[in-house]
Amino acid sequence: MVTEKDCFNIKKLIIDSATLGGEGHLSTALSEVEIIATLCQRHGVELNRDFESTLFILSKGHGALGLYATFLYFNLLRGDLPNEYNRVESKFKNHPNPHLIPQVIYGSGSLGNGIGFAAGIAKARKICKRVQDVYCLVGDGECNEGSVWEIAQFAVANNLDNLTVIVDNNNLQCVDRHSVLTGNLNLKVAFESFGWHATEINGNSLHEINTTLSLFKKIKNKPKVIIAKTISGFGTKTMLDDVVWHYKTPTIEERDQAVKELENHYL
Amino acid sequence: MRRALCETLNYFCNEPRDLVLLTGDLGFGTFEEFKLANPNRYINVGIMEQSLVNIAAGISSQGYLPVVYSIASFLTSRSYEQIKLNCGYNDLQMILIGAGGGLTYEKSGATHHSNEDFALMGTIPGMQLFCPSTPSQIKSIFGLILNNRTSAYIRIGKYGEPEFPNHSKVNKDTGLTEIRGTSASSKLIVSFGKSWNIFDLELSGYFLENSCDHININNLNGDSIEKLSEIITNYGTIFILEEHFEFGGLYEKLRKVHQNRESRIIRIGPSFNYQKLQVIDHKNGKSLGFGVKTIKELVESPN
Repeated sequence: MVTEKDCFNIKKLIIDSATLGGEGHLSTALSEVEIIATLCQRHGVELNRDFESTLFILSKGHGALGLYATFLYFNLLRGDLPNEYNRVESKFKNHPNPHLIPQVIYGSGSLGNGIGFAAGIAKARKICKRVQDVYCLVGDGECNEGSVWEIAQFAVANNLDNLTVIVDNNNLQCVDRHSVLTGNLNLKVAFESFGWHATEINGNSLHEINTTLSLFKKIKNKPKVIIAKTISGFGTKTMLDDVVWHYKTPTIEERDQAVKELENHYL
Repeated sequence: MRRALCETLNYFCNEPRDLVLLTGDLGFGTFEEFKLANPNRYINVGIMEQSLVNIAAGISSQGYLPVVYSIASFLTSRSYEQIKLNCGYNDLQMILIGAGGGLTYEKSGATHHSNEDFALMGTIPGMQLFCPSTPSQIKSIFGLILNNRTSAYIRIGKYGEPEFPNHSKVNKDTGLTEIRGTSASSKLIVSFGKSWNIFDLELSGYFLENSCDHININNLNGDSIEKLSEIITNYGTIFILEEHFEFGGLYEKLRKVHQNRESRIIRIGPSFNYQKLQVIDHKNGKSLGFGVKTIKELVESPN
């Protein structure tokens, strides 16, 4: 199982890379680590090995830094992220590019589309009877998009029990809170109303993520969604639950302070 | 034309890749045969054009070749970003079928017209662009598309489109068809896709009386446009007839090639306006918003 120390190492890599790269979408990168790390640990190098393997689609493309750092840590990727991230000539763009990094599978960045791509894969695997599952991470802000709810219908109508969507429900969007912009939409109830099997968990709890993914393997005949209640900037105090870190790049001093806070939290 | 599409899908359903047909809840009664033969490979996703294309992309990634069917205006406009994202950026091949293209749904109003579909699809790198002129052309167009690895957009009509007259000279590779050639005329009509059939209307008399040659093209792809460009250099006046706005269609492509030449290139097509009535009344042989009076004047005028 993924450890607290693993999370520390990945999040330190994220903060270092954002500081040196001058860009980060830090709040979302830090909130999603436990989710991506758990999937990496459960599937190892078979995750995103090719289009026929168990697949993880990052629909919220602005979470690329969290994806890179976690994939690097689990040896699914290679590279010097702090010195390459967000550089013009680098493969580590601030949204994932499948032509530069085949392991990211899908070039996302425009919200509300990766979930449809994931559903298409799940449907195709039903046709050809391929058993590997498809996982898709979407943001709660991304759920503003109507196309997410188109797929909410399609996945139920086609019994896509090989599709698991995980919503990174950190309640922060670009400039405002998800709860404010949606009138306190309850995502679990919303997905359930479409016919999904939905579970709400602490999305920064490694144990809860792992346990839920194991339980989900037994759920048949309907798509599944985890509403992962996360906290943006989780593990730090400096960047905790503050919308400014969607865009802000840390100074060296802020980086040092945040890493100290990570140490205190995880080690 | 839709019947020919279904026959073509049945013909190519397993070669060279397994086709998966996706529809946005359209094509009533059109695909029954394909559905019966391939129940797992017929998917009605419902009325969700954005997701129609995203789902097709996922299916494409698993080794199938998706054929995506919807009304042309909805497919190309509403799903434009998804087509750019999946076919352009993520390089996932699919065949997009835009039904009822141009002014086919003339009486339904601007929501159902697609006079900008080729302009939009032409911005997607690698997208092959086809507009079959007759039902029998659909099969040969599919054959050309399947030889490539890039996505394609095909605008089709609906039912009942005629075949070319028997004397027409068809070139399947370039998609060019000589419908009428006198070799002595200085005037040429170039029709795009099924718009050649508009000449069944009152216009045909004027063009015949003025000895206009007539050639038709069923695509906007590089080699064919190049060949057509060579042909039109032999004429002083060229009339481009297309159900498309003036940018991004056949007219603009030929204008670019011939911008420094003396030939007059005159476009006959819908006006650039969503609010003005645009109708081709096949029953009564009249058109509105298609510049009929101007055509008569132009045809009768000297070069």
